[in-house]
Amino acid sequence: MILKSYIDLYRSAQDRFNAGAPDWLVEARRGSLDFLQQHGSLREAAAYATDYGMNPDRLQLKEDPYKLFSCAIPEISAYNYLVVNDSFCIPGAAELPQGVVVTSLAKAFSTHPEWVKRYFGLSHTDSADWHFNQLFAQDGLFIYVPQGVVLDQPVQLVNYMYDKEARMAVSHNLIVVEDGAAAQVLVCDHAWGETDYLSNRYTEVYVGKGAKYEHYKLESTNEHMTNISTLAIDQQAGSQVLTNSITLHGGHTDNRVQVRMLGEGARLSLNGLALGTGRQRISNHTDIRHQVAGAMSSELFKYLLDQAAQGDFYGLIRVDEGADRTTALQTNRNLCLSADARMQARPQLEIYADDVQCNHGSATGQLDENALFYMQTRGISEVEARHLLMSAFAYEVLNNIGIEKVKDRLRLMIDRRLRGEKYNCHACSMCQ
Amino acid sequence: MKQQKQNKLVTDLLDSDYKYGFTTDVQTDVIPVGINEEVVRLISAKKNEPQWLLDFRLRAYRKWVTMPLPTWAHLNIPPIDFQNISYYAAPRKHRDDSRQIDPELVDTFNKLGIPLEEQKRLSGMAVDAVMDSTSVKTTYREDLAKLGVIFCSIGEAVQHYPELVRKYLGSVVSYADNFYAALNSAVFSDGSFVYIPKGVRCPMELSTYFRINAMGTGQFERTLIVADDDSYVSYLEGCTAPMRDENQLHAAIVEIVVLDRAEVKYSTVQNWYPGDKNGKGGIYKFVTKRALCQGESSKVFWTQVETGSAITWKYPGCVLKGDNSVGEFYSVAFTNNYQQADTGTKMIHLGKNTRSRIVSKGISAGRSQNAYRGLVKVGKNADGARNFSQCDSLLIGKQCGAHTFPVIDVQNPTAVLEHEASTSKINEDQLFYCNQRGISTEDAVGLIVGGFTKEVLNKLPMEFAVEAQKLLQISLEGSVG
Repeated sequence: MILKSYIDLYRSAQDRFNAGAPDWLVEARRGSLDFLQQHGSLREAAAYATDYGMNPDRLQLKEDPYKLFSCAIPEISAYNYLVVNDSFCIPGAAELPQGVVVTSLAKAFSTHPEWVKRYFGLSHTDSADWHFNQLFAQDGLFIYVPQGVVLDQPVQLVNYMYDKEARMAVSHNLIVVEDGAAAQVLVCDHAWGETDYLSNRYTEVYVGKGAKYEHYKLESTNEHMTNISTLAIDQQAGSQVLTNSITLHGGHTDNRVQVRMLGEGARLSLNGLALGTGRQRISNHTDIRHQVAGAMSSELFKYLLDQAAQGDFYGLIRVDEGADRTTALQTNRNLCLSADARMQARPQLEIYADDVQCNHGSATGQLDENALFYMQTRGISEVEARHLLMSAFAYEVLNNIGIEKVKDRLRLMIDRRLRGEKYNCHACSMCQ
Repeated sequence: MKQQKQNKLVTDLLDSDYKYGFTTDVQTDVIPVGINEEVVRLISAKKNEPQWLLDFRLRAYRKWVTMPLPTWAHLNIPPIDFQNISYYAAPRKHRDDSRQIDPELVDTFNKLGIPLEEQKRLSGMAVDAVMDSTSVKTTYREDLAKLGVIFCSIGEAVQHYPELVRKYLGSVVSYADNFYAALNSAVFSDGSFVYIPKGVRCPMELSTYFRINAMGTGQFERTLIVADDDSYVSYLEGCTAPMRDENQLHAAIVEIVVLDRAEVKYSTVQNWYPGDKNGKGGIYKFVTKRALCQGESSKVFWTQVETGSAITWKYPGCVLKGDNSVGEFYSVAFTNNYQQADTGTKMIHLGKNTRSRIVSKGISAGRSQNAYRGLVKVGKNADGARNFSQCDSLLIGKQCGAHTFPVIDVQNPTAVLEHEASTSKINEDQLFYCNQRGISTEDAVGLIVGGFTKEVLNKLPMEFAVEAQKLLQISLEGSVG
């Protein structure tokens, strides 16, 4: 029912949504429309029920967005980009290494049509969410790192939700890291005011042979935000990928990470940390497919849930027939701190090859009484002892962050958050 | 060389045979195929049941008709024609002496090693033997009666202890629980009924042996065990079936009610016909087993060794309602050829300080698929709940699959839950170590599989542990000597 109203919306404003889109995309959207009509069942479908506004005509902000917003982690050197709602705000000239392209997807349709066409939709699976995104996403970030080029600084993308009325942002990021190249991308999600927001974002990453890619997603929005994101990664032989999703504050967060291991010797580390309070709902859904032999993946997801927060972890590892010498490890640890917190974990293994080493472990519990007692016998107060244990619990995930400044800043934010202090980053224009 | 041996091992494994595949030529009373309200009424009438039970069956049937076939399991289930199955088959008794059991039948159970006749009194186990749909004979009933223990077929229990049956039937597994539970509730024919009175420790193991014999029939047994305050019972269940090219359906329900401080051990060695090497024939098994730990400090232990059936769909569960109650589940599931198993457990913690433990060992060989599916749920008021789950899978051969689908749902902050799972093939280092010490690869595999399953087999009562060990050996026979 809800989906139907979106289909009708698309039908009635097709020309506006398709303005500037290449022909192949318009054609693909026809397929998406058919798919949604036949098997439309969006994840978190209820979240779409609010009457959100969209921006099919790509109206721009009057002010210079880069003057209005900045998320400056102290002393971090990064290439900064801003997406307000779902519009990529093109900044002044930045000095990128030779051949590297960072621009808006809408612009890349005309400036780099072949690249976009080659990589767009490579990693998708036929899901209603993919087709919904394809239908409505008009813009996003496009990064192209040519063969052998190493990006000297991370690319920082700030997604900012900013409107006075309920707003939906549908965006599509396309990131290509060619053979032997390396890149780090830091995505920060923020939201302004007390408006209801829904963000639907699909990020596709192609990681070439022997390439290195790191992807960090930090969410610090508010209880009015519904953040539905998919990160789909294709890994070629010998590539290394590290992802880390840190959810500090938000309303309803649904992170999905899908990785296909397509080449021998690919290495993957998937991580996530969720700190939930209030009525926050945080879901991490990972889906790793080992399609070839000799790849390795490891996962670490941790949840700290307080008040009436709800956590959900779903981790699927699938090892296809013939994917021998696969190593797949998955760990999920959860701390429930209050009577109303609720945690659901579904660690799943589907294995069709015999020469594999796969395991998963999941534990849900509370702080170790013995450890608390031990610290108290050594003169540490109970409050401090609890704090130490909780921080240590959370820091393990932060260790899997390759940008030192980000790691330091997050340590500080989490430390404050766990002490119940104001935990924003204090450094950017939004938090002050 | 090693590779060759490994290959031989796998080939041999695939070649091992089913040894309980004989049929018995006894006259059977089979009702025509198909299911409708009339059939339900007919079964009820054949068993001379009271009105309330017929009503129960009809309610279940009416519910069943409205239910969709469940498709969530990791199983590839060929379409089952529910109208092409006979829902009732009973061995016909000799006319001249209705108390005399057909000698052929005695022979069958002797072949199975069931001490049906009194000469086997020494083996000291009370047995209820169920052939197709009806209970054939229950041994030792008199001895048990002296202690007040009721052990008989559920059909007899309905006649002699209607209040008890009426009170507990459907109290743990409602007729609307799931598709197969509804079907069973509508057409169940026989099974065992056990009642252990207050404070009685049942002096012997109670055992039921199920056998499907007639062609074109399904078996829908229903077992109800009630352990009153401070009582104890150990119950064993074994199953076999003849080799047939067609698939036969088995949809059972087991309900266990455990009252204050009582303890029930339920052990199963399931060896229904698994089908031939090409996946032809075999039993489709859709079973709902659940124990309700209603009383405080009550305990339930499920132990299962699953080696048979073409399809296994089985999740023995515990509802830990009483404070300080304990549920444990130990399972070995072995699949070979084209067998498919989707099995596991559910532990629902509702009472305070409830504890549960799950140890599941899956072994897949050939082209089989073996899945563990489990739920551990901690309700809002289940303070101090504790769970430990471990599920390990061993893969033998390149074309089999091993899967793990646990769900952990915690709504109480004082709960502590741990889940561990691992999947691997037989460790090369362990094989090498054994070879080095003069143990052949085949023996080594036997040792490793034995070690892998030992934790579970140790939980079985002695007689059953031996049988289970033998069963696993048959499955691995030729390959491990």
